[in-house]
Amino acid sequence: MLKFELKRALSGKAFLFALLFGCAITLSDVFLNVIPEAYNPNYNLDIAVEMGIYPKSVYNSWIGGQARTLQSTLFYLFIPLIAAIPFADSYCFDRAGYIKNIATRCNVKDYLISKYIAVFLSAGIAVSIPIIVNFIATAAVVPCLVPQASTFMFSISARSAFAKIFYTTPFVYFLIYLVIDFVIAGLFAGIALAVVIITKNRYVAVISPFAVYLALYFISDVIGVRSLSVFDMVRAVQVQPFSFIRFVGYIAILFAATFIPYYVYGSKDCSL
Amino acid sequence: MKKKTSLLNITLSMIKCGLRTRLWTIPAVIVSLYIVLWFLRGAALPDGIGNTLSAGVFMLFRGDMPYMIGSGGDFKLPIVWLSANAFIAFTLRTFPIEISMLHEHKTMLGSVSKKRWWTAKFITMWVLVSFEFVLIYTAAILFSGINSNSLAPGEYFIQILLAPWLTSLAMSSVQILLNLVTKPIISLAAVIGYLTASAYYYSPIMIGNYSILQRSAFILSDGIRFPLVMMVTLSVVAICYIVGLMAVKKIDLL
Repeated sequence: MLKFELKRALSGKAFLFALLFGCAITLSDVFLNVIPEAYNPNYNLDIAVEMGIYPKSVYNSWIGGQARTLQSTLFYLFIPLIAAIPFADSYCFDRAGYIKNIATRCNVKDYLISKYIAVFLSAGIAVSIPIIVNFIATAAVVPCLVPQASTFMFSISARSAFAKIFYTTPFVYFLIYLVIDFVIAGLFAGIALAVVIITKNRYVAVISPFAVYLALYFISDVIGVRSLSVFDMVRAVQVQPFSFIRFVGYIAILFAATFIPYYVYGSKDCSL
Repeated sequence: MKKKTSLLNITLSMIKCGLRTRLWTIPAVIVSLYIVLWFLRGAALPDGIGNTLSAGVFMLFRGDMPYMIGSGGDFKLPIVWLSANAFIAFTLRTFPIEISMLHEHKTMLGSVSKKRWWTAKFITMWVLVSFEFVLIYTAAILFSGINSNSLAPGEYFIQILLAPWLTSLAMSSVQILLNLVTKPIISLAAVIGYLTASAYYYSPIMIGNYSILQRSAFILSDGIRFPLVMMVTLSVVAICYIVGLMAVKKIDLL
């Protein structure tokens, strides 16, 4: 069942569209910002060394490593949308009739769990691939210099989470954030499954993760606790210091608030 | 021979349906606005706006000062402003999709010309966006009056009310036009992306800037002047209507 659901999720046009949409944003960052900076005749590697300036590194140039460009803001703003597009509305679609065929042929609980896993994985992959593509493309034109705290060119301070990892093994730091983004994308896509309880509209299901994401950002800004926003949590640049406890809290709340209602409602719905 | 449905009838039918499905926004907007404005009430406001009836609306649509590209500083998204616009985009601009799903609407489409259908849809959009703005403004003005204990409208009252409303009408027109040719998710993403780009690039071409009140001429010396806002937004609306008329001829509405 899981294999079948994964095949449906990863071979659909929607998945391809989400990938292209994400890659379009991340690659446009490379073409419009990274390459012009890397080939700027007034700021190349030799001149930077001559002038005693620490050259640009891939770790403060890739899309998650900075918060200066429009593409960086857009990509991290659209994470829940990119996550939900591939397969999050499939349960809404299945309920229209397809689910009856499933219920008569196999275990409904297996179907529901497989669906959740497929939605989670397709969302995570749709978000992670554009980030990896951006990192590779950036690394192709900007050197992978190890960050130096004394240069003040990197936003990670002693107060930031994983600061030691960033200044010693920055690639591991990149991988940590890749996992964080993967998990957040997967869990947010799960919101679309839970929303089925209140609506049958596929459009509402797909935009609901984005609406929740925006609402969290809005509330955290209004009450003055920006570190509560998931938008700041998924960015490796750590505009707001990352809190591991808060991250685990979000995982627990999002999982409980999405999987449990979806599973309970889905079990009843399918058995009718 | 089939009797043609009049423009007035189809428009009224659409408006009735739109308002009926949007009644929930009345308490939602009032309650959430009061909570938001309560948290924002301590914010510093420019002279001529603080302690006036304009304060509440200004706080919602103030946005941020222009971002200096290349300065090396982090770009901070003006989230209160973006959310206010996104709320309209989420709840209202998807309306034509909902209405087109109604059985009665499909029946009605059989007896109405495409031109009338598009015109009615356009008018409905104007009415619904305006309805939502009246709601937002009423709640914000009441809050400002109670909070400041003053009934003075403030120096730029009309501009503060009109600029976000006109910009939203223009953006709504673009969004329903996009809805004709793409899926609603794509048009929503395009509009929110465009608004984000407007916050990033300070330029008259990016019409999202018109509703960022901190970038208006009454705050910034080289800010956006109100006549330009009126001229551009109304032109966008007119262009969208005309393009929609041409596009709708080629689309199978049923």
